[in-house]
Amino acid sequence: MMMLTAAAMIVGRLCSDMMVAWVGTQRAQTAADFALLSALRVRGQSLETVAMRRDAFAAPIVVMGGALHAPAPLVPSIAADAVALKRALPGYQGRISSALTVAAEANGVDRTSVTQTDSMGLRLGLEAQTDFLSSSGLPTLSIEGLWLRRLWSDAADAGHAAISVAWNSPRLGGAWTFSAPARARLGWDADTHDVAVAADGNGGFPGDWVSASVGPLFRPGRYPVYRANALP
Amino acid sequence: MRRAIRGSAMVETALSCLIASALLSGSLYIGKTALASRRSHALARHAAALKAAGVPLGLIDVEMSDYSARLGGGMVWTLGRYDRSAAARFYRLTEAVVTADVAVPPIAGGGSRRLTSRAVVEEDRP
Repeated sequence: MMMLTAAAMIVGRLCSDMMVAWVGTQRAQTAADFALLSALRVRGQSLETVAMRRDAFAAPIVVMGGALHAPAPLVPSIAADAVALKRALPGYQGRISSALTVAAEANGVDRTSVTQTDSMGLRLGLEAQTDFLSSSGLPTLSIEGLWLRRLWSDAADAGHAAISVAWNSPRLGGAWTFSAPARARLGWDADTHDVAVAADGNGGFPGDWVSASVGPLFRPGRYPVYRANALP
Repeated sequence: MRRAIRGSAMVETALSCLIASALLSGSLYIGKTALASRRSHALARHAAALKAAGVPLGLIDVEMSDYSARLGGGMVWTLGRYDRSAAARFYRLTEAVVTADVAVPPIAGGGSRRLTSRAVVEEDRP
């Protein structure tokens, strides 16, 4: 009788542990998917905000004889805004990393359980470029962060990312450990069927100096819109 | 002597039946709870994804009613902004909370147990 009772208790416990693990796998998968998607969405928002800040000071700049030129009264504010944006870039990167943590924790997973298996897509991916700015009546200045170069090569694909969430489920005499993987990408979301976009879109940020201008116009970023998509 | 042995066997059989029925009842309850938990979580995940993608609330309610009905019904959901942690206030996190009541068998005290599932994701276009 004692053995039967003990066997029943063990079977009951095992059954309960298996059910808890079954529920846990689903929760871990949601946490992985949503944490990654959240981080990529925040990256997309950050890129759009950076582009907006850049456009605010870069609009009066034109290309003259292969060099950048701006009206003299605007040069001090352009220089100040460019430097401020360059200094703000690490903050935008921190926001992406923090989004991953906040979303994982909101979905019931501790940050220490999250491993970045492919972190390329989770980097802001912008590099501030120093360039010369000339103006009539003023000496030519070297300005940090005058334009920003994207570090991803394909304009349409701002990067893939993958994470894995480790989940421990208690069982009789120990714990089952399993991991929930998630993959996602941040894509350029401009309408590439649009004639204007197809003609001079550059992924929102230029990959090099050549693609930072259109004829005499200095237009380093064109159509900076992004969308994060989960991948199977 | 024979009567005593027969009596003891009957007691053992009765106890075995009792343990077996308790085990069966407990297993069924655990299974039902796990199933309800998974279903409510699936619903929460679905709702959070729809809301974060910018689907209008009316449409989400229709979709959720349909999905809930297909999963067996009896679930209640709320949608809102997640701001339970200080850091979360710097983001636009959409939260979907789904509750489901699971009946507890009389052998375990009866009544019902409320399960809560939450899914949180950043909005696509704030």
